[in-house]
Formats: sequence, structure tokens, C-alpha cells
Amino acid sequence: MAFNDIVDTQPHVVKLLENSIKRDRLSHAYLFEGEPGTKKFETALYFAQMLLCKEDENVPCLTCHNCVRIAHYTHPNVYVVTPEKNTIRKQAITDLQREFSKTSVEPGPKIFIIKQIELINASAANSLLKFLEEPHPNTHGILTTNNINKLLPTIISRSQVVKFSPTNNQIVEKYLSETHASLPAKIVSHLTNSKTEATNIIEADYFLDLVSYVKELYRLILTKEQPPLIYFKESCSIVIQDTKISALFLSIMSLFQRDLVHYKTNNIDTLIFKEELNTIKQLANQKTKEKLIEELEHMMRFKSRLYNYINQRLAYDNLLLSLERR
Amino acid sequence: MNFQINKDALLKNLIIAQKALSNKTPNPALKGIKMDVTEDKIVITTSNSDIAIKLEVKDSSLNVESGGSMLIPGKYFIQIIRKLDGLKVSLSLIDDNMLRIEADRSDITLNMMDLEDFPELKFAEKVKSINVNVRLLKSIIRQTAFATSSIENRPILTGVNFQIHDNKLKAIATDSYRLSQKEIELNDEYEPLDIIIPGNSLDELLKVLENNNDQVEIHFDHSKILFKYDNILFQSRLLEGNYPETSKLVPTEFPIIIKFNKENLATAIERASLLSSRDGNNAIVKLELRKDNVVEVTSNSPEIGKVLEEVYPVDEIVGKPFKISFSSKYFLDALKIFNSSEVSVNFTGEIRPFTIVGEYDKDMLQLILPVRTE
Repeated sequence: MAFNDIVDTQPHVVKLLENSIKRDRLSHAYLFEGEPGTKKFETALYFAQMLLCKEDENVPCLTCHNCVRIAHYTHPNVYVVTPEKNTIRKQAITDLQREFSKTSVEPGPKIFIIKQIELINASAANSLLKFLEEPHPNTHGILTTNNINKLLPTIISRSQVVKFSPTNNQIVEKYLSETHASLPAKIVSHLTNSKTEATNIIEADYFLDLVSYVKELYRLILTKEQPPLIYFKESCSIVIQDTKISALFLSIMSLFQRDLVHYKTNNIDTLIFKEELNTIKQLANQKTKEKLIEELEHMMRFKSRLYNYINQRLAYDNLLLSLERR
Repeated sequence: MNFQINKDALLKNLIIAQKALSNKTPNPALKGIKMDVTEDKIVITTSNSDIAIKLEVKDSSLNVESGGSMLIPGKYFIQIIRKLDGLKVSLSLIDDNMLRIEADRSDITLNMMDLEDFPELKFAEKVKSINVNVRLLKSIIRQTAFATSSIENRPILTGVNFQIHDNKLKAIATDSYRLSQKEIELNDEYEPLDIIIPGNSLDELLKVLENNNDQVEIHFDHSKILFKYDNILFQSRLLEGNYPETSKLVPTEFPIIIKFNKENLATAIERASLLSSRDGNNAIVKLELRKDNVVEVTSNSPEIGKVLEEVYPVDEIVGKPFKISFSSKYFLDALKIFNSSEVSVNFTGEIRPFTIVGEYDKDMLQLILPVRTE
């Protein structure tokens, strides 16, 4: 794993963790917060290695038996909880509690890592709160999240928040534009901060189609040659087949909408869809700023509900109809 | 690695080691049996992170050509060895990652697991250990572990509390509705100790121990307990936290003491619990001491019917007439573990906990909380 990357991109986080070990001021729970692709989970593992590495150095050796097993997720003192089907259920937290009510299998501190804590459901969150409230000595927890605003304030207040600075999206854009056209590279660099994830997105065979659907939809909203709803039903069937594709489609759409807002507020330099300047210009002039922002919010809301078993067709109808309105 | 051994000797040890194999685990390495072969012995290690078992096999039939270590997929290996024909089995490592098993006319190769991922288990024996007779240890576990809680809300209650003071060992288990306590005398004085052993680990230990008069050595520190028996090292993790203070729960004065024949009382309660609208495990029965000094056990569920059982106490009754209700399951569980044929049930009041003690079980105490019915 590229741990040097962490030290390069998140120097202040590594410093903070190193200092807390050095001064023996470890918190019983850390909340790693930052955008996707900022290597929060990798840092969590790195932190576990710092604590359990057999060498006395402050920097984990990555070669001793403990370090290797942490990287393989097989160290008995390191317990990782990952969301299943986009939620963290009560059972997962109960299992965690049971595991941590017992003494450690191997000498050294015990560490639990919960990925994407924002996906926790209500009853699981309550169990976790109780667990965080009564910290066991020599136990450390690391929670990671992309969106700290979705968390219960009580979880945040019980942990030490470690903010990961967003990696500059120009790095990703530059990296992608070496092999890809500039528009897709620009779009993807706004979607994620992780190079691997970005490559996955841009190389998916449907990605370019989605981009052109979005452009065409906005063109139709402007020109009214054909109702956008009908165009969507006829051509975009691939979108509703898979929630993942749907989420990606909505993200691209919100980027276009963002451009409209930016145009309206005179931020022409930051536009992503520069080639569509004409459409953007006319559309933005038709609507008020408030209306544009409201539409953008509608998209975001829709996207966040995608995983909640909604009727996607109806939701798209609803969205497109509201975009058509002046 | 290359060695031959008597099949049954190997199988016998594997079956013990199997007790600590896990089926469901985040770490696949724990599904494996670790085998370390040296000149004159095989060491077999398994762990499911709660318990770990280490066996030293020194069979006269063992013939080691070359030593080594490996991690064998447990389930398949045991099934294969079990089904093999022939007296002898020969195991050898080929290509560094495959185990070749030869016996009679069978020739089986099995892919090995990554030894790297197996936990580093330390079976630390202490200088001073507690020595207990196998039978005695088994009876301590049997008489307490049943009373542990099966609900994980308070993990600490899923364990049995072992306290050592001077030369006394006290084992306590409770699920907050009943309590079982057993005290034994040790043959030496020890440092004070207060640990909580998970009930499940003790259940597994019971299966490993045989019924004989051997001694078990108990070694412990603050994070684990190790039982040494025969060629077996059985280690368990402990539960962390403070066990609730139980000594104040037990009433000191009992105005009402009734002595029963154990069998008569048990069958009466069993019959009374039959007609209960709740499912069998939660049946509530009522016990009433009448003026004529006969005890009535009743249960009444309007939609099913009514049971009335008369039980004659075996001895003079101390106390006045009164009524009490309790869970039949808890009462029967407690009665079952008594060796005495006569037990005294000691009451303090209608809504106060009561205890059961037996003449031949002087070191044991059962406490049950009554149920409020009216």
C-alpha cells in the first residue's frame, strides 16, 4: 500500500497521530472526516500499524508480522466494520461490542475501525453511542466518514475529529488528461479524489454516453424540440437499470446544474462544460438564481435517496418536470 | 516436512483441537489447524480467538523424517483423516504449499493456508498454578455456567466470575434474575484474584475434559486463563470489566425455611409448568404454604386450564403461611444440579429473593428472584 502517499497528501494528519502516540495522549475514538479518495481508511490501518508495530520506531516498519497482518486484515486485535448493502446494522455493532468486551488475543492495544460511519442506522447508532460512552482502557476506535454532516452530533462529540484535507482535484484531472479527453477528465476529477476510483469511472463503457445524455437533456430543456421526459424515457434506459449508474448520472447532471449557478453568479472561469457555453448562457438567463439552486438541491436530495428503495422512474419524471418549468 | 503417525492417535487429538476451530470468522486463517513438527513431537494449535487449544502429540508411532510448520484447512483435514483406511497415515509437504496425505491405498493432496495470517498465541504457563481435580473443576463449571446470561446486552454477565481469596475459590454466575455460587477450598494459599471467564469457553472446556481423577493446572493472568490437562493446553480470553457485587444480594435471615424431597418438588413443578400460556421456558408457577403446613404448587392460565399440586415437606416447617411466584425454568435448572436428595428452600418474603441449599452441597448456593404476579 502506498503509505508514502498518505504522508505526502495528509502531512498534518500523520503529524497529529504521531504526536498523540509520542505524548501518550491517545483518544479512545477518532473520527476521520474528508472527501472520498483522501485515504482515510488507509490512514486508519496505518495508525493501527503505528500502535502495534513490534519495532520501537515511531514509523511502522510495515514488514513485521503485526504490520503485515494488519495490512491483510487478519490481525486479531484489529477489527474492521464495513457497511453491508449501504447500511451498518445493529448486528454489526453488537458483534463489535461482544468482541471488545473480552481481553485482547495478542498483547497490545485493541483497535476497531468503522468505515463510512454515516451509513449507520438509528438503532445501531444508539448501541454504538453506548459503546463509545464507556471506553475500555487500551481500546481505540477509528470512524471514517465522507460526510460529517450526516452524523449524529452525539457521535461527533464523543470522538476526536481529524479532518483530512481534500486532495487538489487538479492532480486527478492532470493524471486523467494524459490518457483521456479533457471534458471527461474534468468531470471525473470533480467526482472523486482517488486516482484509482477516477480511472474506474472514466473507463466504464457507459460513462461517455451518460455525459452526452446530460448535455442533450439540457439542450432539449432549452430548445423544447422534444419534451426532455420523453427523450429520457426513450434513450436513457441504461440509467435506471443500476443504482450505481443512476448515481453517477445524477452527479454529472448536478455538475452541469452547478455550471448554471456558477454562470449566474459570474464565475465563468470555473465552468466545467465550457463547450456548452451557449446552452448554459441561455438557460441561466431564463431562470432566477434561486430557482437554479433549488433545482440543484432537488438533484442532491434525489441522489441521497437513491439507495432507499424509491421508485426511480417516478423520481426522474419529477426531477425532469421541475427542470422544464421556468 | 515429512512424517508418519498412527491414524487414530492423530485423529483423537484433532477432535480435541476441533473444539477451538471457528466456522464463522472474519479471519480465514482461524479455520486452519496449525501444525509444528519437530524431531520427537507434533504440536497442534487451533484458535477461534475466544479460546485456543494447543496439543503436544508424542505418540510412540510417530516417525519424523523432517520437521516444519504449516496451516492446514481444518474442516477438510479432519474429515479426511476420519475417513481414511489403514493404521498409519503419512503426511508430507510438497511444493511448499500442498500437503500430501497417504494411507493404505489413498493418496490425497490438500492446499495449505497462509501460515503468516495465523495469530501469535502465547500459552504462558506461570510459576505458580492452581491444581484442581478434573471432576471438581467439571462440577464447578456445571453448577455455575448454566446461570450465565445468554443475552449480550451486558456482556459481563455472559461469564462466570472466579474469585480467589487465600485458599478459597468462589465461582459466581448470574443473569440478574438468578444466581449460582460455588465455593471450594484449595490446597494452598494464592494471591487474590478476580476474573470473569466467558461461559461459552467453559462449556467448550467441559467437552475437552474427561471424567477421571487427574489434576488440571490453572494458570492465569489479567488477560487470559490457561488450563493444562494431560497433553492439552486450553486457553481462554477473559471478559473485561468489573463483575457486579453479588454478596449483598443474598439475604442473611430466612424467616421461612421449607425442606423438600428434591424429586417430588421437581416433578410437581414440572407438571405445574405444563399448562402455561407462555412458552415452556418462561412458565410462571405459584408456590403457597397453607395453614395446614402443606405446600401447594399451582399454575393457572384462564385460556388453557389450571394445575394444583400438593407437595408434603419432609420436615418441620419454620414460618407462617405465604405465597410466592417464580419462573419454573429457573427453579428446575437450579434443582437439577443438586446432589442431595433433600433440599431446603429459604424464603425471606413474597417479593424477596429466595435461596435453595442442599445438605450434601454445602459449598453451593442457588438464588432466584421471584416474579410479581398481582
